[in-house]
Amino acid sequence: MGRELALITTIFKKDLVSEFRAKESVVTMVTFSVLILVLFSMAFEPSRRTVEEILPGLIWMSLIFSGILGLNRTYARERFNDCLIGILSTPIAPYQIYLGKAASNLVQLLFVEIITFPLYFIFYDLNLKGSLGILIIIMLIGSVGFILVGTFLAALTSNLRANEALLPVILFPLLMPVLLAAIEATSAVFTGLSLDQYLPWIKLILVYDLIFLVMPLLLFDYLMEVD
Amino acid sequence: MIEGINISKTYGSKNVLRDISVRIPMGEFVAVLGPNGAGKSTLLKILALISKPDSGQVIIGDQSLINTPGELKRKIGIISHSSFLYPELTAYENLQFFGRLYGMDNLEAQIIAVIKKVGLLLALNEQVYTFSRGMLQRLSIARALIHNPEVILLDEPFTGLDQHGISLLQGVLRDLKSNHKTILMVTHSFEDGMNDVDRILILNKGQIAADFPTENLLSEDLKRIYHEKVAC
Ligand SMILES: Nc1ncnc2c1ncn2[C@@H]1O[C@H](COP(=O)(O)OP(=O)(O)O)[C@@H](O)[C@H]1O
Ligand SMILES: [Mg+2]
Repeated sequence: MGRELALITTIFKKDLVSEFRAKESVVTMVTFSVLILVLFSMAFEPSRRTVEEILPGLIWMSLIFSGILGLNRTYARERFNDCLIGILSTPIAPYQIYLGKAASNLVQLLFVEIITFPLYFIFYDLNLKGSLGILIIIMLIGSVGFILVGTFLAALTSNLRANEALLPVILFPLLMPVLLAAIEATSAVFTGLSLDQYLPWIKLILVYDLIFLVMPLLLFDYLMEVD
Repeated sequence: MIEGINISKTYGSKNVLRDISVRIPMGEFVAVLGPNGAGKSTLLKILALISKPDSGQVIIGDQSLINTPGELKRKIGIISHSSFLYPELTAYENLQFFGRLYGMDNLEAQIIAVIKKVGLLLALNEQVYTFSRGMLQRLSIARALIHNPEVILLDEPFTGLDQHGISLLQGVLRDLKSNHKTILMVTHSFEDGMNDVDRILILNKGQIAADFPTENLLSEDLKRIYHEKVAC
């Protein structure tokens, strides 16, 4: 168990260090998210009512689009210099590669969220009626679900030609449940509904997280097989 | 010792390897020659346990049935014309990364030892994207040997090297051989690295077309045999 965790951490650290040094995706992701939120705030002068209605969707959509930019990079980096073959020639198991990469992608996404989230409050003059703590939990578990599926599918598409364009196309249908649940739950916190009114959405997100934690563990060996 | 028994592999409808068996006893250095598309790299990846054959078996060391694939991979080091290195990481970090994947203890001392051996101590903390082709090659050799493997598999390691790089790699191969390592090298050159080779296999269309020792073999003989076997 300790050994396995050490292998996962090794991949996680390597990915984070090379990402934050190259700054390729993180900078693009942050720029993209900030651009979206600024553009939207200028495009239609939102009244308080419409803000509460559209903002949750806007937040999640911009997160997912900027997240995809990062996901497309994770395996591209391994293809460069054939590093993936180097990794697969060592004793690490493919699911450990997956978990390490998912963790690194999650940290990058959370980094983007921490930078952009306060900006939503500033640009949209938002005052939160529900609990900030619950909002953070929703952002966190929703991001986990997105990253787990995304890291899995990015491995699949990275083998294919035109993979950058393909990832969003196959990712979105699979993301529907977690995306809708996250938007509903976020919106409920914004408008200050009581927890039991949106608890089912939170449960749905958690179930989704669990499924996509376990499923790739079973399938990832096949995905990572080098032909 | 590394052995492949009755290895077959198809891609789609294409038979890339057809029932191939090779055995390289401990300490032997075997070169695999063959035209492009003969299946050399495929065979190497299967022997390295990176890719699975459709049928057949790979045995490494003595007790292959007891060991897990993970344990067996510890006995193998691969060198290719790709470096398998991460440009944003330093030389040290690259070796540390792979050393950790091998679950090595006492890693720091090993890294220093192997980096000295390839003469890169001064560049230890520099990011790999700043490296010249020659430095990259040395580091990729260090990477392949960090865990002191018994078996070294090489896939066209001389591709793209200048004269200096060629002699460096030849020195490394000689060194490995004198340490009784088992070596299998895929190549398409009749000269580079051939000095220390014990045995040559010619692979053509997924089959072993010839298998002969290099003792008393003249370079002209080798070329003649090769063209005989591959022409058909
Ligand atoms: N991943 C793959 N998918 C489909 N065909 C492949 C794949 N890898 C290799 N091949 C085919 O298998 C044959 C042998 O390839 P390879 O082992 O790389 O040959 P060599 O290294 O001898 O040049 C080639 O015809 C190649 O096109
Ligand atoms: Mg090849």
